[in-house]
Amino acid sequence: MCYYSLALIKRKAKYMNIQFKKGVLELCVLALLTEKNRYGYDLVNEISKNIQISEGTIYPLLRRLKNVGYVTTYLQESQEGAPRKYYRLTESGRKITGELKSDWFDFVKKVSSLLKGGGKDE
Amino acid sequence: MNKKKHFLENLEKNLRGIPKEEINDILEDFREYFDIGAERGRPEDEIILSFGNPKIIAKQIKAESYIKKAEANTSAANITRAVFTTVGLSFFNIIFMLPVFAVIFSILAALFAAAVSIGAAGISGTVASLFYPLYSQYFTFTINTAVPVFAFIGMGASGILFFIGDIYLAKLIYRLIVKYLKLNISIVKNRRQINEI
Repeated sequence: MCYYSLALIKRKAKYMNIQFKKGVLELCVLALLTEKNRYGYDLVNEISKNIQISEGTIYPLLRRLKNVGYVTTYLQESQEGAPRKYYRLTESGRKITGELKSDWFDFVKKVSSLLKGGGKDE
Repeated sequence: MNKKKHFLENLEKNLRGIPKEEINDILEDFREYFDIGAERGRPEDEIILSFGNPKIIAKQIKAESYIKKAEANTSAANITRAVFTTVGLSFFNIIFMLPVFAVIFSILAALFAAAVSIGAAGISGTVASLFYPLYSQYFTFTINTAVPVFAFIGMGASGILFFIGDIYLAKLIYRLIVKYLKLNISIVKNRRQINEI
């Protein structure tokens, strides 16, 4: 019984880790879209410069963002070849990105101060 | 060329069950990705490798699609589909949750049956009481017709109210189940994604 719950806790921690990574990836996509409208390949390209990701996950993620109404899409011709499907932030997407960003910076600040050792009083 | 075709066919096969236009839309996305990769001189093999397992991509998209649909319109077929997709994602859950769903659905069915019976009893009782004067000679006692009529009208009305209450309860349970499935899908998705991100 004890072993079982320990395994459960470990698994839960693992989920949290994945959930965390997924959330970060979503935040990266949203942040990249605040700069300008981008297409799927472009997004993966930008993210891959810094973080290694499985490229197939970008489309399920983008579909989710579209389903909840954070982004919309439009097609645009390209000089290089095939037309690209561009993703554009909606008003609610812009709002949520702002909130997520400030949450993120707040979180990082707190963790960094913890890692530097001790609370503020010391 | 062959490998790309194989990947797209595999993806399409695994996406079966969601609307055709949605499948085409997704395949178009992946084709675009291949095309841009090719324009930039990236080998097809490398792109396919970087995509990961098409089965997992398809399951993520499908789960999302069913939940979206179930949220958009309340129909028994949709919820059943959503239940089975989630269950399909995780065999573990079937053992725990299917009996729970079964119990919830049977309680709900019993409540609806009770409401219908009370309502029907009220209506038929009302009608029967109205005709009481016609066959009053068969009874050894006499009562004022108005008493049973109003009593049965009250019974019929409470049956109807009971039924309306059941509908609200059913809606609430439906929402809770959708919520549960969403939670479930995010967990299962994560479990599958451990090596994906």
